[in-house]
Amino acid sequence: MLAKFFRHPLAQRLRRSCWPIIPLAMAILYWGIQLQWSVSYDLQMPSGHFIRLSVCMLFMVVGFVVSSRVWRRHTYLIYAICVLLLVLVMFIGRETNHSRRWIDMFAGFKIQPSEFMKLAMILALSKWFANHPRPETIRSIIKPAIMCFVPAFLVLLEPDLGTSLVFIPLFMTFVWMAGMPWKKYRWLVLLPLFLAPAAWLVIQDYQKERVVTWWHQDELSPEELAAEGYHLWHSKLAVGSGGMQGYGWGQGPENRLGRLPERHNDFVFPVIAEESGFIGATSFLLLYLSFGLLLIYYSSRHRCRFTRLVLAGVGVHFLSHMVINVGVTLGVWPTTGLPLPMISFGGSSMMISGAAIGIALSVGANRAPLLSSR
Amino acid sequence: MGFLLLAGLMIGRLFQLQIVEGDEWQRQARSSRLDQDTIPFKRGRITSVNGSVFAEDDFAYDLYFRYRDFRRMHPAGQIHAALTLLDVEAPGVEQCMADAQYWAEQLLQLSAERMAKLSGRDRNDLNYYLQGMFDIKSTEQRDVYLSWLDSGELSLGQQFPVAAAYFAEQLKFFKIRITALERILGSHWHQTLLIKIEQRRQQLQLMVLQRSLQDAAARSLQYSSSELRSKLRDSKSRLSTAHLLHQQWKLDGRAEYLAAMLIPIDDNVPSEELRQQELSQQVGLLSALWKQVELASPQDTAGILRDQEYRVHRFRVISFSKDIDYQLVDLLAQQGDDYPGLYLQKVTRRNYPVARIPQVVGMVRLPQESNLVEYRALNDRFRQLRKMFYRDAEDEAEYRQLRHRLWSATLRPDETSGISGIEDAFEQVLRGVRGYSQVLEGGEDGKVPLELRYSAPLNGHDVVLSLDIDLIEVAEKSIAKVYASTRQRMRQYFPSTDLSAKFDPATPKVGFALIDLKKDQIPMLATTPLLEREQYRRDYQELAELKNASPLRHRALAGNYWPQETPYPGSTFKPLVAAAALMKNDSFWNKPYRCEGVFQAEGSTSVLSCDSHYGHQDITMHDALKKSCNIYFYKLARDLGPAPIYQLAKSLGFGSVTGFEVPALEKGANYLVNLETLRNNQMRLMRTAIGQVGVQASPLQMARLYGWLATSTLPSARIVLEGSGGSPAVGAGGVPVLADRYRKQISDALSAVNYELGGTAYKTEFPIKWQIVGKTGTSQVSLGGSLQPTHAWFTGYFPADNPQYAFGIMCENTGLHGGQIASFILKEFLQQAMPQLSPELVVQVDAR
Repeated sequence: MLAKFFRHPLAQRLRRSCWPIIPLAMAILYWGIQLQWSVSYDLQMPSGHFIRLSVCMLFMVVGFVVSSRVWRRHTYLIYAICVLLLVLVMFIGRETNHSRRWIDMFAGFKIQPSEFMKLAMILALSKWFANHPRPETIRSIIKPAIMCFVPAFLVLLEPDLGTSLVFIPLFMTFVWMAGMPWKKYRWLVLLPLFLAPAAWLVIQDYQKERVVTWWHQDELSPEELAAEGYHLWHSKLAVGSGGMQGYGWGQGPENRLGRLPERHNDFVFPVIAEESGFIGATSFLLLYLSFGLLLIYYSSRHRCRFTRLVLAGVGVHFLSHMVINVGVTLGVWPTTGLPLPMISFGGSSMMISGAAIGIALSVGANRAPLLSSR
Repeated sequence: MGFLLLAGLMIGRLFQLQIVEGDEWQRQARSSRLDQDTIPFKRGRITSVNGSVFAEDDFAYDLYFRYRDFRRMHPAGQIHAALTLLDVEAPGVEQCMADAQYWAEQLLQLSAERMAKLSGRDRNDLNYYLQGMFDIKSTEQRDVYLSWLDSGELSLGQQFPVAAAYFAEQLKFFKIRITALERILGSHWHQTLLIKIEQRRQQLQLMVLQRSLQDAAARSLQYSSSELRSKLRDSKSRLSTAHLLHQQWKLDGRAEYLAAMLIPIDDNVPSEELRQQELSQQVGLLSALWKQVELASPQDTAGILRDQEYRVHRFRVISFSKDIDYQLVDLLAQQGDDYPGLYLQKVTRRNYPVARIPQVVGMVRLPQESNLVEYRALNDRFRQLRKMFYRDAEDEAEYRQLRHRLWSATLRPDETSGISGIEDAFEQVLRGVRGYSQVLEGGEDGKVPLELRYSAPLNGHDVVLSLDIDLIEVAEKSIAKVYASTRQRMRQYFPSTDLSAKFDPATPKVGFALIDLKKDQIPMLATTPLLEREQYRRDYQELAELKNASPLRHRALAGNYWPQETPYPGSTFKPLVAAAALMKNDSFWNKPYRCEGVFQAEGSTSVLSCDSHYGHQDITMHDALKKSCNIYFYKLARDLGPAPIYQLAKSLGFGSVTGFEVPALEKGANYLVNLETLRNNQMRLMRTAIGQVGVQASPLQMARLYGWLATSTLPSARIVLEGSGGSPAVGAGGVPVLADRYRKQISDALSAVNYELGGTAYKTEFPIKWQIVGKTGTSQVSLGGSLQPTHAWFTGYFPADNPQYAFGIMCENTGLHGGQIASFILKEFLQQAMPQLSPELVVQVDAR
């Protein structure tokens, strides 16, 4: 029976794929369950999170079951659909907190196209760079740059600065992984740094306020701490007061007294830091880092360029979210709303995380690893 | 590699926050959860020696109101807030309550589509109120609510079918609570609680709109709020600012109207007495103006109104009712959650059970704006230090010192302090130390509040006065009785005296001081007209500015006199001159001077006269004192020279404060001309010798003089027996000794004033047993160059052979001499008070 199971093509595929990411992903998802319990109003597991978790698992399975070839073949179609959804969201999207990010579907179900776009972007860029020779010049990456920055611009129009920023490291990673020489690549690294001040002219007032608040985070008056600096101040209070071991699950005062805003979503990391302390928070970061780096590691073991790029893209997707989300809560970056995949409350984010892992598993199995021990 | 570096950066930052700065962040986190509260102390009591209480603190409870909590938790507040967010013109909260069922039904008709049309912030706020009203609290229900927001198909009521029933139940509950509360508050609150709440809401709304307008103006002109406020305080720059804004915002109407609306809130606090109609009108006008500005310049107004509402509703706590009934205190203490927005505040009230001599006892007052400057400066610095991440040893010491000062020493906005009388002079004694409690919100485990520190308040120390309230009362009654009977007595004893237009029996202006020579205490200080405590509290500022005949004066202390009314001691000063003469050369006792009724000093054109038109002929010191011969004392002073008189007067406290604990009450009294003037101006010397022009004194000061004449010891002028403070005591050092022989001689002469035919107070008919040693006096009063009715004096001590009490009585502007009225006051007083003062001297009234 067991032998029959292992002989099943899907089991064979799983064996060939980067399956060690599964226990890491499960550990992260479990941590997410624990956190959602901890931040719940009455210390009860919110049923909604289980539903989202189930959807995540479903998408993971679907992403894995669908073969790598199918994914590769329909990559541009998926990309085009996501761009269309991004355009549509500007017209039919629901406006919440001064931005249009969601499209209502059936039975109260809604989707966030920008989340889907992240995965579509990974696939599309992977295919493009896989199908084209190594980029030697800046001119040779103009097309993929357009493929990347058109959706990024559409997301910025929603406006959703945090998500649009995620596309930049993604693109940079693909160009690097595609093999652009350092002499050319360095301009790509420097260009955003030069252009960053110009962004000040185009960002909105509330975004400027966030940047100014972040810059002066140690000089805020009590009134400012109670207003524009509230999120960052309470996030740092929660993190800093966690100390070495933390208060224990469900016992962090900033969390339990409801003083930490958005603690089930974008500011979920301070809850980890407050309740499990430096040990727990560092363990979590190392776990998450291991998950992302393992994907990148597996990407380097494959001959197929598409596979390499997809695996690296998924890894960078998770790691860039972690770096931005955690950095915001620690006051390393200005405040911007970006969920922590597999942990935060958002349904679309959970769905895409599952799908991304599933696709990584599927794509990762399509060739034997180059440096297999066998 | 890059991600490894970034992850390293994150872990490094975590290490910095949690390990390196961990203790500081824990301190900050705890401190942000600390709820500190002061516990008021009881100010010390002011009591009399026999236990009467002049002033004491009582604890009371005031009822306060915070609209934010009412808005969040009470159905009327929730409905009002929800309607406002939906842009429905909301009626007042009292009407929201009356029509609550109707409005709840309307709100239950809400669709997700309608909700989606709101801005993000408004929708979040509305979610809060709807969830509160319709019991959408558990995690599951919130998930359903979020799904409903997404679905857009069913109405809220359809999605939550039990919501209407829950709300009806809640409504019934709160209606009962309001009725119960109104019943306890009293009949005049019947069906008015919500009306009053609506008034307060409108006052707050007015404040919100005014401040929002100012903030929008500041944003538009790119000023900081404080810069703009300082500009708006000046009417000229306010008008120019308004013109500028009027142009920028392209508003209808006149810029002057905008200028009026921009008056800084500190100068334009909405008054509680503002009539409801005017209040509604003003809110309406400001709302209309605000809408104009919003339309004209959305970038200047974005987010401002909401921020101001947040601040004003949260931080403005309104006093609703003072000294509330214990039943209500009990109710709110036990079931406070049933009355959202209403809070108890324990306060202390200063009561004055004995309403007499408010001038001496004084009063307390809440700090004025100027008093709070120190508090604010210290508080700002304290907050700055508290926020500092790393405090070095110096900062830490300053932080601790400031914390101590703010919690215990500095006057806080809600704390009274003495502003006059003993209350002021003994502030440091009477004032206690606040207690405080410190509660950690959520406790260490984030669940149950934990009391961290509790420090009981230290009440202030009592101040015991030597004053005997019974004696004061007797004195006041005696004064009133003597004044009432003066006309009849004058007809009987002094038929030739003209009382017309000189004497007003209805408003006696009398100062009366009594010193206990054995105990060296002041048992009685009386003054008329009486000043009511309530009038004193109410009209203090107005009365303090009154220069002429202010009832704030205590006439026994004679302070704060308008210069023209300065009391000269008149002939009551003559015994001092006699003592000075005897101390220089005892031959003056028998040396006669001739009195022919008038006297012209050498080289002077002025003619001085004596009371006796025909003169006293050759008269010695004994008779000169008995008959109060002016010419005798003119000539005596001429021969004696200024130095002995001046030096004796100076050493007996004339020309300086007496050391009475409330120096303000003596301000301007006790003047003595300088020696140089007396040397150069013989006329001034001679007039000073009869107690005119060169010397001024209070009845208390004169009683001290006679205490010295009686015992050769200068009595102190202090009334506080326990508690230290007030003005520094005047040392008794340097007081000359009056030889027993001279004391006896003067005492005999002054006894003759009262007991020998021809004595100026002989007609008072003092009982012989009392052995009153006294001297009458009449002091001239000049106002603007014209003579006014004279003051009448009677000062002395008793009994002659064993002096126990010294006294000083002054009757202002009677036009009579001391033996016609002041001495009668003493007699009347002693008749009533002698059993208490000296039972062995009690005699039958007609025992003489």
